[in-house]
Amino acid sequence: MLELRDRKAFYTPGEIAALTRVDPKTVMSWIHGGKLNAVQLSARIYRVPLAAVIKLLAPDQIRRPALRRRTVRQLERPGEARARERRRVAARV
Amino acid sequence: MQRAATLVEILEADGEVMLVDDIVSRSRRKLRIEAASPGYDLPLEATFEYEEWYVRLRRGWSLTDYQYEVRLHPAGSGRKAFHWHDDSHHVHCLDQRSPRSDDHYRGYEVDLLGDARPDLLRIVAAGAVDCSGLHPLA
Repeated sequence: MLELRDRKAFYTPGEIAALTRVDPKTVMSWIHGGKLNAVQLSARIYRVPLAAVIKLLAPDQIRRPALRRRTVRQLERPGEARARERRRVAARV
Repeated sequence: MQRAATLVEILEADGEVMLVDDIVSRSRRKLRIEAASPGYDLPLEATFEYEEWYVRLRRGWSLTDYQYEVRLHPAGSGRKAFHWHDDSHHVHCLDQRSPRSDDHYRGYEVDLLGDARPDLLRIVAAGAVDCSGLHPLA
């Protein structure tokens, strides 16, 4: 597993720069270029999720669940289940 | 459905993808993806749930409904969701500071990757949901 001291949910670009031993401007270029996923909290404040750090530095450690594909006879839309329940309640009253 | 693989490839940079479910009937399809933040054996801070419903048309699958949602943990500490169902685009918002919490708010059509995802991830990074600026549905 990628060894990150003090692992946490989000990192600053400065922390990523220190981890990867590159200039903070390089980290910002990764973010703006789409190489590193980050969330912008304000004009100058960015945070990088732990998963994005792993994806950048140790992509082989990204965990991917298997796709579960199922075939069913009938599949309701979200509103249909509620409408069916309303009809059921109305029929009881 | 290629969309599932595409979404997982992108969303796995937000947290640990826990579930990818693709349920298909003769005419409809539902795609569900769940991710945990931060994941990777750290204590749970939030869960993302993305659900899309499709109907089969001659030209392929067409999106008819969606529910894009984040829930902060522990349960009840915050929730925001972009919903499209029953021909209504609306937002659910639970903000512990708001007396009108978890009401339906006026919404608009959102794109998962362009609109909902950055907004929901911003909530997790900030550690709080802010429902200010939303207008209750009439």
